[in-house]
Amino acid sequence: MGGLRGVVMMQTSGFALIANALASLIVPYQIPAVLVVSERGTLGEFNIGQATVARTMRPVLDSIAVEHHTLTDDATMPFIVDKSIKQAFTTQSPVVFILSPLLTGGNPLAAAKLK
Amino acid sequence: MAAPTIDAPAVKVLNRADLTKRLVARLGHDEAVVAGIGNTNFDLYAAGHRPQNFYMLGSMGLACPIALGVALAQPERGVIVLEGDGSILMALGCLATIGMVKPRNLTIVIMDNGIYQITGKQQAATAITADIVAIARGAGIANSHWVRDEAHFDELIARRLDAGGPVLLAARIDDKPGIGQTPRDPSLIRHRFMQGLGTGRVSALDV
Repeated sequence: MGGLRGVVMMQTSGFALIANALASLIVPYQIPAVLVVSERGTLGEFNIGQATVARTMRPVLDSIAVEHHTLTDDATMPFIVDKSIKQAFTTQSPVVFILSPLLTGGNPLAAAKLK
Repeated sequence: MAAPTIDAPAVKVLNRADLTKRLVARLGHDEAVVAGIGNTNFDLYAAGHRPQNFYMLGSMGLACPIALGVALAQPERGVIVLEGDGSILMALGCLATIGMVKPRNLTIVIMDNGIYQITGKQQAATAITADIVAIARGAGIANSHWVRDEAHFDELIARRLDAGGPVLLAARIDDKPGIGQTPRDPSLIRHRFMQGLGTGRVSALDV
């Protein structure tokens, strides 16, 4: 609102803490917030708590009709990100990019634990 | 109500609506004023709407983070946030962020009545053991003070930009409810705030 544009970055469990901020500030005030969530809890998770909270993410976003895209590969990422950020500002709506382990390789600690 | 423990052996219990009017009367440079959930924003609205006012209707605890964002985006503009004790207890981490980032144009005013007033006056930790000024100083906001009385408030507000960093003022207030009722229109609030800050859209084609 002050004239700068920013990106908020968090892990899945960080996203789980901001439901109220999304639902009662960002959505009703029509703030074009750009969120990046590194997805943990799927594709090789060793912590059941993280696996459970990962399942809350998309249903929460869908319940408040917030646009979200799961980024899985380098080829499609530039198009998705570029168009979605533009759309966020033209429609004055938030957008969430979920970084899948398919894109990031996942948690390096998981590789050690899952041998 | 417990006595404050830092630098304020005796403080006068003030009234939120009066203190807010007092503050607004002393602004003169289009300062942004961000008011938190509940009675805090009701009393800001009652003090007379200003184009640079932001009324936070939901998202309890986030008035200071919103104000921090505005302060960072517009470093030449004074930014004041009015927040309640119950709300700031929900978001104490933001004081550490503010203490670390040290925006010199940010002033935080905590209206402390030791209760979650609007939900039925349930007691807050600030009534018993939590000292907001001590917490703020511990978080890195060195310029944190209890407000002794109205004259002291005036002095602290007048001097706030001399500090060279963020300032937190905590005022003990009574349990009187807010005297206004902010219209609950979030998109209108945001639009007017951005117009007031000079960042608003002129037409639907602006991005």
